[in-house]
Amino acid sequence: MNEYDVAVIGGGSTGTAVARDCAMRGLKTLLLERDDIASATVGTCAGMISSGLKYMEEPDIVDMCSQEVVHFNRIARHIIMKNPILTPMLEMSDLSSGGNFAEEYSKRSATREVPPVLFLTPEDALKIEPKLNPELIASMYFEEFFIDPFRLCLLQALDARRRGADIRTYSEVTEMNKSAGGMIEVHFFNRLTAEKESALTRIVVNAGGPWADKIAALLGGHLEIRLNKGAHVILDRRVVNVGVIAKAVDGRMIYLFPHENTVLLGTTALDTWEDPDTLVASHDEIEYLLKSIEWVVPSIRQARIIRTMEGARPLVAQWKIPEGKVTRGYQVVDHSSEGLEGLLSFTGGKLVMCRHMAETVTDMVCKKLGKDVKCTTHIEPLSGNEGNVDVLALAAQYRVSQHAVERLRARRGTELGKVLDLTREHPEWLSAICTCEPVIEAEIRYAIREEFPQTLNDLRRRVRLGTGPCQGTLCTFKAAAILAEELDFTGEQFQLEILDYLSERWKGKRPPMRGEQLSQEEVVQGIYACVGNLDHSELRYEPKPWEEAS
Amino acid sequence: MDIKADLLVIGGGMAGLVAGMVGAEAGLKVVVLRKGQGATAISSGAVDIISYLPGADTPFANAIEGLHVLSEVYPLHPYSVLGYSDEGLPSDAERVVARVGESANWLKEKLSGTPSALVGDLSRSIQAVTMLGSSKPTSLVQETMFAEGSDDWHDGVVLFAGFRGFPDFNPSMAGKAFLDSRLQGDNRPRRIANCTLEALPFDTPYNISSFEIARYADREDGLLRVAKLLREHVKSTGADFVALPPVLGLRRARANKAELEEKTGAVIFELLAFPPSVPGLRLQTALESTLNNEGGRVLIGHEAVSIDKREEHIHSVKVKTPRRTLNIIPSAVVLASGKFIGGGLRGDERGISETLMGLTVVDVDSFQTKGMRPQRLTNVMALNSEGHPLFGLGIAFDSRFRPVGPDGQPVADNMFAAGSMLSRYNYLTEKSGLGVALSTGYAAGTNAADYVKGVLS
Repeated sequence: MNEYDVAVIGGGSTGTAVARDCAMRGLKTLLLERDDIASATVGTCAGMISSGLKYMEEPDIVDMCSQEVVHFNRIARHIIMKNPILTPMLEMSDLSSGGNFAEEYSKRSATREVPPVLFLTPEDALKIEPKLNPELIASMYFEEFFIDPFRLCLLQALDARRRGADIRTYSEVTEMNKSAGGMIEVHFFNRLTAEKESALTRIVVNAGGPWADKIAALLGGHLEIRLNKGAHVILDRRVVNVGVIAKAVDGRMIYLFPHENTVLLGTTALDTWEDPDTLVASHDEIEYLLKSIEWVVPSIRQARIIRTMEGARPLVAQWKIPEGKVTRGYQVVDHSSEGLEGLLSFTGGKLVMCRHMAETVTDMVCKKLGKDVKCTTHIEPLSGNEGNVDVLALAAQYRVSQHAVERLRARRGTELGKVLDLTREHPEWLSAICTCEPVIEAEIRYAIREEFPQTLNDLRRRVRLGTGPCQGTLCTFKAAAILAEELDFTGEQFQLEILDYLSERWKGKRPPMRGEQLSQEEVVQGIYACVGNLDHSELRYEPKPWEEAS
Repeated sequence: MDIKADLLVIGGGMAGLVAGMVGAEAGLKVVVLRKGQGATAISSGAVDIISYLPGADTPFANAIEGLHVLSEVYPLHPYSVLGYSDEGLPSDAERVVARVGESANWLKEKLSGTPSALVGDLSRSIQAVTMLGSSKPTSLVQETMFAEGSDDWHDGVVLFAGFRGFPDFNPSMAGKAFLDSRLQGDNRPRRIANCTLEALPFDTPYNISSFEIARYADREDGLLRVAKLLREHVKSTGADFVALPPVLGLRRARANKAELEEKTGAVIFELLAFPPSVPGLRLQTALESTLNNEGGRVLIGHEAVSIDKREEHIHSVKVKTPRRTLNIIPSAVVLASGKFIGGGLRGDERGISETLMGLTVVDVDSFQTKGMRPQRLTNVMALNSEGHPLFGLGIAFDSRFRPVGPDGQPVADNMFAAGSMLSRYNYLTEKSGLGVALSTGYAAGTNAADYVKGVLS
């Protein structure tokens, strides 16, 4: 049986950051993820690495977040975008809420190399974003950084692997027990081979997010989390070019953020006791968001809604206060007080803190193992961050659209050279497979070979396949064939892969269905049901959790 | 500007063009409005009649069986309505089969000689192979899509041939899937093979579309090149059949198939297409030119925007293009503007509506769907043999294919409807799209002509 210093459970932002930190400090590290990297909570966030907008009442956390933004801009500059943000105010009562924030934000703006908060006249605000309600009386202006959450997690995992960690996706921890010599035996089910495996480890870091309580319980540990679900509505294009933050119908703050080629409208916040795998956005959540943002962006309902996404926040278990009052900080629970030496669990936290969380827990792990190695995760860059990329020159050299090269750069930074290199031998791989994003075949092949995807959904997380307005209508069958070819699938697996991907897209497309998406869906059904006849196939399709739950 | 017409058809897909052709045959002055390209032009180009009962796993043995079952189980289905007597229900299955068969034969004759000439009939189910390697039972396919001898693949070697730089079709995976799906059955080929042809319409070997290859195949040098490459692969694999993506040409597709068969010695056939679809456009073009030859006019880029209804009669229809506005004064109107793709229906969180006149929209069970939001009309499974009720919606109609209001009375005495905007059937799961469009277009066109001639009261 393989022995490790530390086994990290969970491949989200926290788990991958911990695996990276542990590997960098020379610990023998195993990461076990039930599905794919970034396949749960972090995959449903807006990617904002916030300066602390929502938690100005926790100055220590605001300080920490500001510093983390600086670190991210050092190690992962290539997957970061900066968005200007406006907070249009329509009534005097809207004005009163901004004061404290402006002061706290401006205090720390220089560290992040952004201007302090500005107060704009209605005219200036409308010049920046003409879609705002012209009735506004004032607006604040500030800037926030956004990171590609999928690429961040993947780059952390790849970096950990490069430094010797074993990264195991589709490996679900089923049992844990104490073993001889203070070791913990971790049993996990390999979902790819359908075989049981196990490993011995000295420390277990539980980064299970919304499942952290269940993971702790496998070893008899007690952990309480406050599970809170949130929905985003995704619009087909950048209907606004700056972020807009406004008060929702219930006085909470919601936002409209440009995100890659789309715009995200979010979020809701509802306490939940549901299985996180079965969550889908409700009609109430969708209308809550639309009604709320409609006051400041009146034309929002003319925009084309392509889907919703719903995630579960594993908050620190503070009760009898609204979700917004729960600390945005994180806690590391050392279960040794329960007699469970070697089990450490996270609750709480935000995307922006994932590196910090990893540093804290890895310090604790090192102390327990008697190692004294300093953390360097904030200094050493992630892959692709090596320099600038001349997008226009590469587009001309490879005769491919500038847009395609720029999107490639936004995901991969300097690594895009390796992708384009593949097309010297295979110029046909310059073909755009997903034309919405766009994604060229070479990037799909490269991702399959270098980034261990097992499914089309995994590929989506790596290259944004099928995330545009057509939601995979025209790329699903093409990309499935490429994946099937590279991974040597059978013909049946190839068609099953198509069904699986359509099913996951449908999960998000279905709740907000309206407008242009009805004809888009008629095309989808036309291709895959009417012509492809996959609605009458004899494929052994296994229903997904959200399908079984309804 | 005012234009007079005997028959105005709103919608230029299969249903509308067929209605227009029937009207022209009856000697009417016909004008067809086509706003853009609808579902027919992006269809696979095969004319499905009926292959499945919704929810059923096994297909019907043939369309005749399907029509019999439908008229019993779904007496309000557009097909079943064809079997009504003058008094309405019950539906006579023999009459349904006869009327659908009549329209199918009529269409085959109309299209014979065009690049999308059809083969097949209601008594036989053709197992057409798709670009995914899956099979789909259908009734009529274009000649270029028909593989002579494919009822029995036994002992045959099937070569799947793709084109370099054309990512829509992966010959290796399609071939594997084709074979896998036949492992259990008894109709499986001896062997499959695949190849990729280096036939580049342009010097860039990527982002090649099916239309570019089709136009290349319509050129003499292009076809020679494809034939030469294919011949080598057929020789080395011993192929009896060659499955090509649907790219055999837009103008010369049938001649190209014959020439390739002659030069390779193998049976050549096109797989069922996904959009953008060469056979779909071939079919659209053939229908339009047939209508033109019969004296009908297709106004492309013309959208009907409002209706002037006086009493229970359509008096005139306002039509817009980006440059001009027309007023068409018709004796009769056939509305065939499609479902969501065509633009006949639209929906949002407030409900589903018919776009031109706000006609009554009902579901498969004839219940009004007013105010129902689209999500409520879907199932949790993306693809399922029941289909989504959302796509079984359409306008309510009577036994003469006249749109009716909530009271069941015709909205206008001179208006008829056809095609996918009709309610009470789900073409996606039944596989009945172009077949219903054809037979209801035929019926609506006939009824409209009768009305204009005063035969119909």
